[in-house]
Amino acid sequence: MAARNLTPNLDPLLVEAIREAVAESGESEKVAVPVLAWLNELSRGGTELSNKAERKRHFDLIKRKLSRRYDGDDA
Amino acid sequence: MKLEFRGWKSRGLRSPDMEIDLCPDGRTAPRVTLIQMPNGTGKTTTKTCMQAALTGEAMQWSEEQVAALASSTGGLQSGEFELRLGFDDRPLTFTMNFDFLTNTVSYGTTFNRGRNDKYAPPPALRRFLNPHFTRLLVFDGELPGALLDSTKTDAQEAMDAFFQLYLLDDLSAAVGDMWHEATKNVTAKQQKGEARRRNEVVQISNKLEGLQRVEQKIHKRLVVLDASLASIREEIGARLDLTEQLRGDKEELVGELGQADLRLERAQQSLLAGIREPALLNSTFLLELVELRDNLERLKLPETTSRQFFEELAEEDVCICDREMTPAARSAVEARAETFLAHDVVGKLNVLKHAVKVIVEREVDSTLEGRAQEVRETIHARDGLKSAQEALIATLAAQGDVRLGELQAEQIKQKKEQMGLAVTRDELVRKPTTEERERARKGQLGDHDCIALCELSLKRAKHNLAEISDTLRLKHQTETLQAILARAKELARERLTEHVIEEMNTNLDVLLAGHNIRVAGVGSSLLLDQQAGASLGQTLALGYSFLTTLFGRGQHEFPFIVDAPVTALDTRVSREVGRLIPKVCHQFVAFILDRERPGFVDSLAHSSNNDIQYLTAFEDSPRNKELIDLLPEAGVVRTRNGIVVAGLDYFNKVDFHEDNSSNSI
Repeated sequence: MAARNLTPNLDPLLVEAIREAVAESGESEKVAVPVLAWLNELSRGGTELSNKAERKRHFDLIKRKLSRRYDGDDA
Repeated sequence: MKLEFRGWKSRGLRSPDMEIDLCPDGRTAPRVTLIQMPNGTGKTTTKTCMQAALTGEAMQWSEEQVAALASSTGGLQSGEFELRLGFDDRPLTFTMNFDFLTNTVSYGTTFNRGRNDKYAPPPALRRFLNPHFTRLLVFDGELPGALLDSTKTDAQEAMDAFFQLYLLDDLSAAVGDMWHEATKNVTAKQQKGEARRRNEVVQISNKLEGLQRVEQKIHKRLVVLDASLASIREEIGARLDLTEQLRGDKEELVGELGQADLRLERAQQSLLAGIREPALLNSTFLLELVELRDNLERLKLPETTSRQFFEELAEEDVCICDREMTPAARSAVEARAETFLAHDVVGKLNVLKHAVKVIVEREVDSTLEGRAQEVRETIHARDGLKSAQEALIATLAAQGDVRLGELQAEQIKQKKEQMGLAVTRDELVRKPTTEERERARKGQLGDHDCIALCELSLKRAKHNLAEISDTLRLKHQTETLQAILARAKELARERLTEHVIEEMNTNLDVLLAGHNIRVAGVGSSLLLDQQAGASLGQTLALGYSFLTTLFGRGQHEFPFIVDAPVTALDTRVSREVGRLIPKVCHQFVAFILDRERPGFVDSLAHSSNNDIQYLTAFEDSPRNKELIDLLPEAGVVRTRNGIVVAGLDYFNKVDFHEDNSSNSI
């Protein structure tokens, strides 16, 4: 059974580009998932960037996957 | 996915009321529809409404934008624009209702026989219905040429619009906004501020650890000193016991010392108890209390608990003053009860009054001074006894008990050390005052050796550090995400461009067979391999081809609605463009002027195998009398102020008499 396409509204080449950009950044490949989900929602009109609560929710999902370390951080 | 324009209808707008049916026989729209319209017939209004109907953007229009579309002939308070589409061969209609009283626009959507009173395109279509993209569906005839104009960026923008790469920029900007929003009240956002706050935490932590170490050290030393002093006291006692004569004196002194300590403790407790009653400490307090009491209501009882008392009293045979309760007395009790009853809070006041009364009766406590004096005297007496004990020890030492002298010296030394350490320790472990706590909270403490204050300062410093650490972490994450999005856009552009060029060149091999024209790249514009060899017509054809190749990715088919497609071209080039257009798109709808007909119309008809519809539209007004006089008997649709005529004969017959010299190439 073929895997379900989670980003039907995005061009496959754009999806590929995002995955590659994430890999180049040194971040976990898991970062691409919430980024693509957000873009797909924007693309299909399921969410608007002007909706502050929605954009915070999407950004929070991405932050969970992004590295928490920063220069000088000893946490 | 296939999108098709099936027609539109406008009423009460700046353009003449008009209904354009692109599917007159009810089937799918012909490959080409030409709508011949003179200037001033409202093409701009129609295009604006088409864009807005597709995107839903009119909901965000300002009142001025809405008002600008109102009918110039005046009097109408409402207007309507309806755009009919075919989406995968199913009817889809967007309706815009204009309210020119409030200058607002509301939407309606009909799809699959379902009616929605809002802008609600099918989800599969929604991704394309944004202003970036629809500009590529409804456009001026200049756009295809501009795609190859190196001074313009239309080709790149078309790519970005189709593949929604602008979403990456929008998302990046939104993330940036969130960062600013989250940190607008944060005082430090840079690494430098973080280093300073981190240093502050380290410094306070070090100081706290130092103070805690000192306190532990003092505590241990005090334990040792307590034991040592107890041992010294014991040994001194033992040595005094050795002398028969002094033993009695010593025991007497020890007993008296014990009594003195007890008396001192009692005197101190008594003094403290007095201090806790300020009215006894100072007559000013007492006077104020008496004044307060006198100002309170007199002779009142709480109503809820006391009314019953008066009612029952009135029923008694004898009053509480032992007099007979006559009818007159009974009436008096009942009548006057009200004057003694008050709100329940009076019960509390009565308690307060009673307490003041008790205090007043005790008078200003002269014994307080006496109690203080007693403490002083007791201390004096105890110290005297201690001196006597020391004198006793000195006597013995003078009689040759060297050890006793040493013990006494050691005792004095250790007691001195004990006292000094106790003072230091008291400062270390004391409770901060309210004022100090407030200053610690604000980070305004001066020098101190108080552990509790240090802990408060550390808590504040850690909070500040956490705040900036969170801020810096958020900054890092924001910048990382923005970098990913920017890089993704670069990569996507590269990949998509490669793909589009490859497909486009394959199409061009058929479309412009024998012309040897190929696309080399897409920068800001399309770049040709042999740019010098492309005619203006070929350039326009390339532009259309680029758009159709773009739209063709994912097997999508979109229509083109073009205003003045060949107005800037001469007949020869118009003919070439007309020949090519039907080959690159499934539906081509053009608003043309009469002067665009030569060459263009014939070649379009030929190239589309006559799958072409001819319409002529203009305002029903006296200035168009000549056009109205020529109207055929059939194929005419008249509205309040507009006329639409179907058919090639009329289409070819009309002359708008407009000056076209400035536009001709």
